[in-house]
Amino acid sequence: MPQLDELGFILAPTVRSRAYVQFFVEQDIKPQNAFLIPGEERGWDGPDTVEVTLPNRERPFLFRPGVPARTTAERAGWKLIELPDADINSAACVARLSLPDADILIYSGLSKALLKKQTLDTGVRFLHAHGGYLPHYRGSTGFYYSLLDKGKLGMTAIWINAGIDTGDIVARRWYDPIVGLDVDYVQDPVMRAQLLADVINERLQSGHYPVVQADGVHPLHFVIHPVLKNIALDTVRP
Amino acid sequence: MPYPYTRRNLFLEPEFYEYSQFDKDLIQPEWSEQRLAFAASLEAANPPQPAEKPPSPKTEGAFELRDILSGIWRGDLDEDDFQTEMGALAALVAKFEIFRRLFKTYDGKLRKLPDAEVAAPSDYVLLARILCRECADSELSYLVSTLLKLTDMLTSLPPGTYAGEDRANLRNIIRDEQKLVETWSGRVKQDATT
Repeated sequence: MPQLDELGFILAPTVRSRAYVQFFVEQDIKPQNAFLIPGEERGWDGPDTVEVTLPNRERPFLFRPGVPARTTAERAGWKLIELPDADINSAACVARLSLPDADILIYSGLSKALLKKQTLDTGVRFLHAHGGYLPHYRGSTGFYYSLLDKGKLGMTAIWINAGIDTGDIVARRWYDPIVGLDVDYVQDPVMRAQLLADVINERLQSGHYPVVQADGVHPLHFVIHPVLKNIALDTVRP
Repeated sequence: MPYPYTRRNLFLEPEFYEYSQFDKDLIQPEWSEQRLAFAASLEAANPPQPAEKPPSPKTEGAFELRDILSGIWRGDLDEDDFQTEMGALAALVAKFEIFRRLFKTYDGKLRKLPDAEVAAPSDYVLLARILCRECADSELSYLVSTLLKLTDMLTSLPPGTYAGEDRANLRNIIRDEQKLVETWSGRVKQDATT
């Protein structure tokens, strides 16, 4: 099992964190550690296992959206560290993140929890998967807009900086939407997980993180209106 | 159940649409019905009484939002003061999206002036007209999203808020908005079948 000592995770009790850990465990990639943000686990009332067909794979990824990230990580023998506070930017969290652990953290925090200056200044580099093809689709609902515009979901791995989705691009990919699968809780988190795992696999094989030159500067796409979101979701409805 | 996003005065209690939940079969018909009912009620409502408020004194270096919007609409915004019409429009759209309010006066960099009053509904109507035109001329779905939010705000007020020209413009905005949503909906359905 390849272990990348420079790599750690910040995980939250979210479906996205569940996808990340399950994908990395399936790929047999072990980080040095994972920080756990405290909080109540989100419920899941869908099927126990969802088959997700992804590009560049021979078999579908079997995602279990109801299994907490902590459970999967514990079973895989990951070193887990409890963060003292649900606010990732709190003084207590910043102090903990400043201790010498991993140099690079894949950030999968609570929704709307942007990293503030004091966290970005800890010396750790934060790797993030954005749900939108950057730099074209900045904003938290970027992939809904690209479903409307292009009929595709875009995902981008970036190094987080102080701007909104303006960090240096590490990798990005277009995905065809999968008809009949939930976008928010299955397709989006699993596609992000695959892109991040591909980035880490490339780091393990080549010794370097990939770099993508951003093509132009594009406006922030603000939260999509529900009527347009509904139209975008028509692309994945049977 | 009626369309959920215009049930309160959105000028007083803004809506930010985070994690919006809706019934997929109902949201579009409810939205359309709300808009058409509002357009119809504009005919019947009593017009507002003209305000007797004196104009505010002009502040040096201040630009009236109305003048900026009119310049964008006519295509003759003074480029010595503002870089481009699309740049000024993008800045105003961002302000609306972030704060859900615009002000009557700004400085040359479109920063709010101290003590600036909140813009009038009529100013938002003009912004919506501009967005209708830009959305029809472009493929920018994010501007359609902003237009929908802006029209939610405008139609969350009593129809009697609007007088003469604004009434006619608001009816046209609602008509154009319906066409835009139909166009995007049709495009997505066509893509799904090809």
